[in-house]
Amino acid sequence: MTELFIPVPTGSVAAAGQMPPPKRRKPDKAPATPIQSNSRESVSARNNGSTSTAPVYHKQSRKGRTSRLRTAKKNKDLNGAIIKDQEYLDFLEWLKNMGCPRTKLTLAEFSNTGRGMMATKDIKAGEVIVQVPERNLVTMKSLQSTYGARIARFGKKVNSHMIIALHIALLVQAPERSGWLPYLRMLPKKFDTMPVRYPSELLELLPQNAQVHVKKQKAKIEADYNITLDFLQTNADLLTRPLQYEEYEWAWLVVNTRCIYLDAKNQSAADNIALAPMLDFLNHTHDAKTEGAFCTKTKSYQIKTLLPYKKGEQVFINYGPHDNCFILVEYGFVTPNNPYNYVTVDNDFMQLSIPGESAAAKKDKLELLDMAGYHGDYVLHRNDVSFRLLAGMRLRLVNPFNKSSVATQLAIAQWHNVVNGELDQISPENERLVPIHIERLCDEILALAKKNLGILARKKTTFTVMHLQQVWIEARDIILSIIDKIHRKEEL
Amino acid sequence: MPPKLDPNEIKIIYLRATGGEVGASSALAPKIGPLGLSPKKVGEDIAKATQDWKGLRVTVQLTIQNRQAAVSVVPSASSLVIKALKEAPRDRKKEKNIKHNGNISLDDVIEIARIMRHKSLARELSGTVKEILGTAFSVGCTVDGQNPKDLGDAIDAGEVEIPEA
Repeated sequence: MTELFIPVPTGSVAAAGQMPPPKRRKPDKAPATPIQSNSRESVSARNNGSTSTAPVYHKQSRKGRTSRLRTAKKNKDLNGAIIKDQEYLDFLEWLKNMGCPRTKLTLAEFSNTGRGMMATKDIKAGEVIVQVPERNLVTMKSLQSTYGARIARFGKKVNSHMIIALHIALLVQAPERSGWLPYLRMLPKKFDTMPVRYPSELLELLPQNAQVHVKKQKAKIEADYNITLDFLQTNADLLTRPLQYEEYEWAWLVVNTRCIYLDAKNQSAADNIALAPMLDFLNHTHDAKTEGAFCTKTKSYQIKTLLPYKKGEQVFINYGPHDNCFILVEYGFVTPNNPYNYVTVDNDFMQLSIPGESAAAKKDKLELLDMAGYHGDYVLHRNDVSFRLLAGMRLRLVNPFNKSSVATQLAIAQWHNVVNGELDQISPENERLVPIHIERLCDEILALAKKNLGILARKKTTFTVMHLQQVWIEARDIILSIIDKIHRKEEL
Repeated sequence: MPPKLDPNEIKIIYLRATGGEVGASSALAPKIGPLGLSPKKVGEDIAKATQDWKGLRVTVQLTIQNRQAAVSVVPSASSLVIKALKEAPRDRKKEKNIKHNGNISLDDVIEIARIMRHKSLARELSGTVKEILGTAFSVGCTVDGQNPKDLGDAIDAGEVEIPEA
């Protein structure tokens, strides 16, 4: 049993990553591309080997043709295939014993998102869809009795994420003892769609801001792992075997992809996280409208949907207003038509050479931008250029730039007025140049997008490659919308 | 930040604006410029969202999520009362110290009380109605041709019936 939970080391990861997308049962249903394939996908991909997408419950009972026809009729308007394997049934039993109220949701396999929750009955707007009782939440507070004294003895600073990850890793080492076995068996076995687990040749194909994000995440996992090792040195009795990096990374990613925000008083902002079984099977879309909060009356974490769902539809929650790059790095999937998408041009802006601008002048300008709070975070949205980028570009285009000259001082004063909304432009000439140079930035990103899409087209189609393709296609479309706007001579 | 459903991802800014007019971007720029939002565009959005409130001072709520702003009007008792007066829109710059000496019906007041119900701490709707009558008094208009204060006393005495909800 225990074998199951050991996260597979990096070597065998590629194998699962290369797996083709699951076959659709009916070719006329739903979009073919599994765009929002979750990290849970790897689980389903594994299951596909033995069960394919046919519902498992047929196999469990010996029923005749009439029963099969009735079931088929009943499930006619379902958007996905309901999953009822032993693992899930055990999990439901466990939830019941833990005091979770029944929900109108069931686990199902969807062609476009992988595993998700399906409504078994019509759900009204404003209804509570999931309730997770306090005793089922894994938080710093709930772990206090197990680790509180040890942490106090340890003396160094620890964070919630690190401790919850350690807790999960330790549970996996001795699952039978913990009583959490049914939940642990429902967790994904691997996180191959997470960029932090990408092989380096795919990592290079991420947009620059996502690459920085992945590096930060990796550094955080390593730092947390090192502190954990330090902590375990004096608490070796917790372990049944030495904690490997792969094991810890897996547990850390479980927490990262599944934790919810829970306000725990008297703690720093990053510590307000909790793991909530059941709730973590819900997938994300940007247009889902949900409210999640701890209800003091029922002593449980509740999620309310503000949109109605029909029977058989997948129920979604909204993780937050995130763009696809963020979702990809933090959760390992992408969503179609995400309105929060943007393209970062920080590096290109810093490296952009502007005729008539000396290196010293550029340095002075960047300092000035920094002082005014307009340094970095230059982005392009669909049909929209960030005000920060416009402000930065306007200053870069003040040339010649000589701090001691009166003309430059005047231009700087004008620039401050523009940034503060007192004036519309520094000078007509300056305003004329802004779109020209923004188009140059666009051209660079466009060339990069085309190059990366070319590389990706030659790769074998896996979920990872499809995610990257979508990210770049979206980036290309955003850039094209801006170039189009510039050509139509519209105001940016 | 990874946690799902984090309420801190959403920033809310409140500001007062004149309905239907594009205000000076200098008021908006220091607040929203550093967030990457164009003060001019948001100013135009505010003017569009407040078309129904031409010439009135209203509180506007800006909901900012991941560099995108949504504009909505926060209803306030006094602006709702002035709106119910249906005065001809006037140029705020030319006319100063505007006096509102019109008349609204009690049904208008009850309707306003229903909108403001969620903000009021009154136990019954009649309590909220009395609050709105107080606002009407402060605005300077009459209700059903009477002084709003007298009407409030009449509600207390049970001479005027107010629906439950």
